[in-house]
Amino acid sequence: MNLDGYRFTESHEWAHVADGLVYVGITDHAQDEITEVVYVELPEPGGRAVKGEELLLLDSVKASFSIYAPVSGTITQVNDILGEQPGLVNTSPYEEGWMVAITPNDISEMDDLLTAADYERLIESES
Amino acid sequence: METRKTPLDAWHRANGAKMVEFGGWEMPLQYSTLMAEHLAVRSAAGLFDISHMAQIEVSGGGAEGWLQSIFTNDVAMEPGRGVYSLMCNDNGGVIDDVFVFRLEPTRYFIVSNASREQADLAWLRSHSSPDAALEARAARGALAIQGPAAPAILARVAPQVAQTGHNRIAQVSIAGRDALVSGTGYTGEDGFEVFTSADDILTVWEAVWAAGQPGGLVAAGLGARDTLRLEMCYPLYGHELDENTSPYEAGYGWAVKPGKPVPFIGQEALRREKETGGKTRLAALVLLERGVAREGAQVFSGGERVGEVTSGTFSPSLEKAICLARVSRGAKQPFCVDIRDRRLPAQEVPKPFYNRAAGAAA
Repeated sequence: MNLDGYRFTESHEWAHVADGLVYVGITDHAQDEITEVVYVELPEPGGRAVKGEELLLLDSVKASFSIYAPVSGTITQVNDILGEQPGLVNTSPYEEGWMVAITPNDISEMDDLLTAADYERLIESES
Repeated sequence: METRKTPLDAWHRANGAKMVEFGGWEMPLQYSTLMAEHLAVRSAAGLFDISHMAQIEVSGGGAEGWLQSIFTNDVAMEPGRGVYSLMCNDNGGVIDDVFVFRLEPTRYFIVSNASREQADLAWLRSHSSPDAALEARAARGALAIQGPAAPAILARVAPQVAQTGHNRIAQVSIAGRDALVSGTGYTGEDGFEVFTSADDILTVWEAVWAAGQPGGLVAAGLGARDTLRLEMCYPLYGHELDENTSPYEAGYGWAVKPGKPVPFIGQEALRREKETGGKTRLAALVLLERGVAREGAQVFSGGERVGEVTSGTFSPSLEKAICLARVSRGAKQPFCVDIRDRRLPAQEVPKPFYNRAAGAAA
């Protein structure tokens, strides 16, 4: 799919701005690495997100993984459907598998993140 | 220490395996997805590379007597039979858990854990017998075919295996190569393990692979191997078993024969422990709320810490989080498992978690 509007972290989260909110999930590469997701421990809406700090935890059959906030702000929405269908993280990592939406303190923090091309180079260098 | 590659390494990579380090070896973690491979073994059949496992031969007139003095189980069986056993130190702690097969009256074949190969050989050599010779197979290869379709698939390439029942072993020929086939495994399903040389394993593997395609055979990695064994509460060395844990504490007292006529290492300590009970016991727990308990998670009962998780995962068959926990002997329900400062209630269930006859029972 076209990821032009998406930005990425070195810890394999993506961030995408829509209607002033920063939507957050994990990349296709990340979901493939961690294997089938069985639980997503979503935070409470209204909580604080701090750039680079842990945002939530997810479990795959293989292990537990921390997901880090790509920007700072207030957690405005969480994708409750993942409670019942955690596998959406695997089958639709960039769309239906989004995890939280953050109202950013400073939208310019998006500019610090990797572009799709940067991220592509990162995963090539890691493999 | 550099990691070792099995003789099937190129096959794994050509078939899309994610590789992972385990016990000093580069092994396939999964080829498709862990869940799919796990469920294929429960419903059809899976093919596993187990070339990493140590293969040790013991021969000589004194082989039986010597091995009786080493192993906790009774190995004075008929040729063609095998038995699961433990090898303990003087305190009754476990050096390793192994399968011991008797090939001939004076010839034994032992399969032990990859991660313990050096420790096992050092232990055996330091307790050697002048009447028995020990040989570790360096250039080895082995596979496991496991699942309800496994017997029919393997019979296509080795018709003799129809006579190789549970815990039995036989010399067979597969695709023109000599191999030992045993009715054993680590999944709780029907199946076989096939032991051969590093030179022959790829030919044998490809013959079994081709024979299994109509029967739904899938290649399965260490990920599925671990979730399958955990559903059966089979111990994994370094998790449920170690040199400071006795077989009784791991729930494997049945593999100890304290009354065996030949004295064996650890016999006195194990005899006492059988009478008094171990300090701890291994509990099978199912989490009742969302979350997966992993190794090292603390276990509580009535607000008091009573032990910790030795292995934990999400069970593909039960679709629940399951774990084994080493808890103090008297610890009772209700249990809680601490996962990142949250105490999740957990229910103790009878072992194993998965019961083939009942399907996903627990």
